[in-house]
Amino acid sequence: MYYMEFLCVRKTLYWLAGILVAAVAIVSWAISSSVHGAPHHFGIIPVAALMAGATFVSAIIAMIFGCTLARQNAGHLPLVWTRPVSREKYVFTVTAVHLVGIVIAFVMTLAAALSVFAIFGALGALTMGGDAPVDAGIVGRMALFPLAWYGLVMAITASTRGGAGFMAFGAWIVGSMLVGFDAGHLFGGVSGIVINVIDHINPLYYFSGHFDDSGRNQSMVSNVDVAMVGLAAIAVAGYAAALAQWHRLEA
Amino acid sequence: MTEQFAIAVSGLTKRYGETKALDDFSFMVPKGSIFGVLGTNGAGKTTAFKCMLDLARADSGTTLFEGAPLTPALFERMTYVHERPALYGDPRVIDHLDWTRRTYARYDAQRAAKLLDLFGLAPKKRVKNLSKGQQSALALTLAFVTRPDILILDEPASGLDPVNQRNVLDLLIGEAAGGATIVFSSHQIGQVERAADRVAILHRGKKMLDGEVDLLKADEKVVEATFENDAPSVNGLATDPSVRRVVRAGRLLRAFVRGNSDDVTRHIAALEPKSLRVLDQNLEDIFLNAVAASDGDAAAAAADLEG
Amino acid sequence: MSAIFTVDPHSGVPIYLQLIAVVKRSVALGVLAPGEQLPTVKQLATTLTVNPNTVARSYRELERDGVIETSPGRGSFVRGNGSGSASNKAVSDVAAAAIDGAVREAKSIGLTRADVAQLIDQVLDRWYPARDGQEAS
Repeated sequence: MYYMEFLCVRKTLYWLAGILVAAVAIVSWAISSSVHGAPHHFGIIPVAALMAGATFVSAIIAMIFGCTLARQNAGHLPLVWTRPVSREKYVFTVTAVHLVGIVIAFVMTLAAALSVFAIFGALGALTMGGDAPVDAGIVGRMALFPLAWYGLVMAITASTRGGAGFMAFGAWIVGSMLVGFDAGHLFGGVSGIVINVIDHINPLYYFSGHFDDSGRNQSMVSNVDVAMVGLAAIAVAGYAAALAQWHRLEA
Repeated sequence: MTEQFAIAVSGLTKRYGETKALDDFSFMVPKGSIFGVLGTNGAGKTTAFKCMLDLARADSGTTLFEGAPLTPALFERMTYVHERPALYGDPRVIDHLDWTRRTYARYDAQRAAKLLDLFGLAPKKRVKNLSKGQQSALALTLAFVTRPDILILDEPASGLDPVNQRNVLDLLIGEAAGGATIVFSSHQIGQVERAADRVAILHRGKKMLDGEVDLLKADEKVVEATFENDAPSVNGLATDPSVRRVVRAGRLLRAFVRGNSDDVTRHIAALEPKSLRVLDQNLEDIFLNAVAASDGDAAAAAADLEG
Repeated sequence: MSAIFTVDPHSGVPIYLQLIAVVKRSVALGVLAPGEQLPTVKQLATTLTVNPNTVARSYRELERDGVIETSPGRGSFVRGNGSGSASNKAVSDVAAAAIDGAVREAKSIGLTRADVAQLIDQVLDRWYPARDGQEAS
């Protein structure tokens, strides 16, 4: 039943692989041409940073997969909805394929990042501890972040027919802006409160694996458990909202 | 009682905003028969199929398949082909077939090969690179390849060249001869005339006529008379229940009659026309007549129409 | 064999009646011999591209009229002697109806009996040349 979606996932992963290979080549060339002769110094790099990058990429992939309902809506419903499975079961089987794809995307990206270090023999520069230790909280949030985007994008695009890519991309932009506004306290009073409220369904609110200028890991929600619950809630609620919309949709 | 019918549709009504796309549409399809739904574009044929198959929600009415409401499991034995192919663009012909093969237990690989050959479909071609006719052919192939018990086809031969149109009709008839139940919609009267046991004529969402094609043709006649001067109005025609419609155009009088036309013929003969004959009606005549009768009701005051 | 069976689906005459007429005519003319096997319902339907139930209906009526007989599992066959007369009658009924219609048409456009008789004579001369004993003028 999920074969078509499997083909789509496979194609996306092939593209990602191609992009990663090209990225590794470009980065390696850039590094090797910037310092001649002297051994390359990478300093101490936390693995968590690489994982955060991989999470970022797998979130993008998750968002692409999350547009699946909108893709079906663009003229394929008479085919998809006349199969011997209910609409809900169809979405579940397709999500199963997506989850595998998201994990593969994460692994591929992490492997690509590690391979740059390996090429220059600098694997020793990596540490699991340091400023950003790889602990359960980090891993938990990294696992849930793409899922939250998946659920959110599904919810936003479940009733649209095409154009989902723009909406997903737009959601990312808006999410980034919201986090920016909120963190920088750019709006006061009621607007500030409204922004903060909306920000609660913004996965970026719960996961900011980026590093500020002083090298510290910044996060909007410092309580890791709350962050994980928040991300999981977005994932589940978004998914449920998507299913509910698709249940009511007309071909 | 409804178990004997493969499909029993009753009272389907569907509004899109102000317009009624379907108005109390009912019909019964016996097992192993071919049912044609005939109507112009916009008559409501596609809406009817969507409502029957839960692709759209009817405002009222029910559809029963072998006496039971629709469940997903029924799609193991029932296929639907939409009027515009709902296929995916990027995957290839063979991908669609593989998808079908993995989804259905009854997939028939030999039949798939034969149909690909018949329609001239290259397996490795991406669907977006197929012509519209080839896409329609592929959609039909996917429908037939699972040996369904029930086939619901919306304009199955549209977009196909005449040779493939005939191929599709042959396929339908072959399936029906093997016991399948088929419902198809068309605006091409010739297809329905050949292939259908029963026909329902749909016009502006309403059913105009419903009956066995053979019997409709045997029943429906035109009594045509020419007069010396303008055709007179004929007493007794307006009240005769077998007279569906009377048209007067100058010297010509036409009475469209269902059933025994002897009484009507006698009434008209009494007025001593110059010529009088009773003509058969083919399905096109019956269709145009039914549609005109409906439009005529709406504009009852129009000249040359009475009865 | 299947070349015998042609029907016009677009005619106002139902297909099953056309098929019945074709079979009866063929039997009357000896094109279909007694005992000869007819195509199966399925075969004929697919050959002619017409609905199988229509063909089945014709076969049922032909059997009722005594023109053919159907054995389950074996097929449908033209009946032995006796079917000829039923078919002959059916065929001459058709001819009679055609002549009746032609005369009625002629009358309705104003020809007199004498005119019509003359026309008929001309037609008879064309189709039955140098023959005595048919219609007298």
